[in-house]
Amino acid sequence: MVGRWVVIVAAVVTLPPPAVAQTSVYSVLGLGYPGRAIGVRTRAMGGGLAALDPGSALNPGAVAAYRQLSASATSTSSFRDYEVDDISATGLLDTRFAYASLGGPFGATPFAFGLTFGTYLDRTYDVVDAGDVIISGDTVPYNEQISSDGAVIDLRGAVAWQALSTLRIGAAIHILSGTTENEFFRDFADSALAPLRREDRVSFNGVGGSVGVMWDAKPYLRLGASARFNGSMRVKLTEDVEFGRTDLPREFSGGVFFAPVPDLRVASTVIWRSWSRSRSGLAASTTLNAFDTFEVGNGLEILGITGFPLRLGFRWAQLPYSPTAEQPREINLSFGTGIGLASGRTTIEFALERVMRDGGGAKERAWLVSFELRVTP
Amino acid sequence: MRMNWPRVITLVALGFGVLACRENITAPAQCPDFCPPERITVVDTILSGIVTGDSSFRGYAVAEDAPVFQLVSEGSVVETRGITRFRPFAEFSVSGGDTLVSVDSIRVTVDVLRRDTMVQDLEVVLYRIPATVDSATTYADLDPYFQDSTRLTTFAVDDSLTGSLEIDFPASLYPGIGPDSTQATIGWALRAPAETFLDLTTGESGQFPLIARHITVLSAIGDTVSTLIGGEFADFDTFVARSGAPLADSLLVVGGVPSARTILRFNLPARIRDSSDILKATLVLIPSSPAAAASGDGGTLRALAVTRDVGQKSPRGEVINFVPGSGAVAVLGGATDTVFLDVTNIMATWTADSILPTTLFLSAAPEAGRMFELRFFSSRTVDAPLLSLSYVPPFLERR
Repeated sequence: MVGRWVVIVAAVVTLPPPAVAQTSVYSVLGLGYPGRAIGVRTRAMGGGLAALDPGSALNPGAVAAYRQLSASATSTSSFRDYEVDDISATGLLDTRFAYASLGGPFGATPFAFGLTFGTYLDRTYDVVDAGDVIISGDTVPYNEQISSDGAVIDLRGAVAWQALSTLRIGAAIHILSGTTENEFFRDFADSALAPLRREDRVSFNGVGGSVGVMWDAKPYLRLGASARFNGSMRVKLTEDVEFGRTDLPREFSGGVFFAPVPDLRVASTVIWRSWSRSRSGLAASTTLNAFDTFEVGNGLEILGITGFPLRLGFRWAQLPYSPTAEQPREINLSFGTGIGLASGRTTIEFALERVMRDGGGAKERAWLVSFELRVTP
Repeated sequence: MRMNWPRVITLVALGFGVLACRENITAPAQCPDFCPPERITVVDTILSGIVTGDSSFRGYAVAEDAPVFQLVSEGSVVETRGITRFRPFAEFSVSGGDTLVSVDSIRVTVDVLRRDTMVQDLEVVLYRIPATVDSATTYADLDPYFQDSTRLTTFAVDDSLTGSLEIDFPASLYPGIGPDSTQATIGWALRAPAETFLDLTTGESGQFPLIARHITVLSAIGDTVSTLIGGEFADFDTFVARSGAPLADSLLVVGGVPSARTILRFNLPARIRDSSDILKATLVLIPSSPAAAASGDGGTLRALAVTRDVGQKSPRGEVINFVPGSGAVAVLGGATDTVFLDVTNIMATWTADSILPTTLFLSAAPEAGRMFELRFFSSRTVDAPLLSLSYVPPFLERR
């Protein structure tokens, strides 16, 4: 009885407002800040499990590892501070519905499916600025607020086949879609000039495909690899005015899962993405640099000590956009656990991450707290 | 004590659930490096050749319809004469037993609206003129009556006067005004040691000039009483100028008597007309001659939007969303400086409503009540009107 109430309460409080982004000072650059379409268990393990987790959106081959129908929803709260040159911002707070998944086998067949819904690019920001502008020959100071709310979502549908007892193969289609609601407000110091408000909606559309494989090389060693190819992403204004196409990155990943003893699991995933391809879709006037990115995630899961799994993770990743020649990077130190409820049909996962992002002239520090509610009917 | 983990996790989740209800992502930007790619772009430009049709027409308002008539002193370039015809006096009605002894004097009362206080020792001279004056009467037509032989009085204006003029003259100087009903028509002139003006009210302002009579009555008990009776309103009041320059095709004319207006048609580029935000729009007009006005006086140049453009008969509307300082500019007489007229609000309506004609009228204020006239070069000259424009294009710039 208690477990049922726990599930209900946790389900309610971990479903925040229906937005799908995770803000960062780097969200204002280029196409945005890349999201992480992974579950909370994988987050707690530094992303090391990403290439081998059926509940993550990286490797469609892993989907065949689903033993039964499973659904999950994730929320992540972010507590951020940042510094850019002589400007600092503290106490920034937001909570987002970051990721959801649904997957399971097709009955008793060797096939399984996986649907995921996650942030591909975060484009949420709300910044204030001041400056001056020449109007009729006079220099007029102004204050300005620019906000964007939205993200590009990666909706993935995957099918995987248990080809051999040790080999799983999968393929997926990715639909990239989303809108950002942009609002611009400028208030002039000259009261004779009416304040300026401009709103628009930018929509993004694109498709991609991915293939993946997962191989149990040994009973204690699992390997995974995937590749993803995206088409170009169309960018449209509110009234269907297309003002750009942007090439999206190709993506290659590889992962290893190692369980030397039953209560100790180690996982690592490496991902490479060719974000520099997207530079051609950015305005020619921009001085922004676009880089290819490497990402390495490593995690440890320990069972049998407390009755709950203890997870630790370390992640190092490069970020794709920078206003300078220096490529930004981020480091995640993570910790997490989980608890099974309702006779194991419900699981609540928890992860706490310390994120350090540096480069391109900015320094950002954040605490991320994630909850995932996973239900196995 | 054994930890109740489900309860702990529930409490933790509840705590973060409460935090999730708050959001604070507003932060200072560090531009341009860490600024959003989409920015508001302000275009500050001067558009030439944007006025594609312009012409002037005279006769929108005539002096007899104006709420004010301006007396400009004799000898001025824009000298004027005033005309006031009063309604006929009613017949005398003396109380029973009283006897009218005499009509002693006549009093004319009129309110002074404005004057140039820098010029003193003003004299208002009244003349007796025929009641046949009308709107066709010209300055020259009045010459035979503005003579010493028809002068009623010369009234010294108090240098501190700000209210009403009360001018008395002997009734004997206006032979027609006596016991019998008759009608008085007065001509006005202004004399001063330097060029100057007086703005006087007319019946159109609601402050009618008045005429009244001082009479002496012998009462039934043998007393002699002097009293003021019979105030009558003016039923026709106007003024005429000594000279008026004709319209010229290459020039745009605004103001004068009768008043002229100028119609300007704009050919706005589509990139501006289509949903741009107008921050500031200033019409730049280059005078072809100094602003004409009585010495020490000036006037206001206004821009008026129209809802339909049917040429000189276009219905004029007031400036929409009028804010102080918009759509009007004061110009002093004699000024030769380029005139900058704020038309921001008018242009804002044009970009907001694609049906509105991009046409506006220039007019003087008040119309036909002052000797205030402006002349500008038209679009058919090298000094054509310009439009100084600051606007935000409909599409945002992406950096």
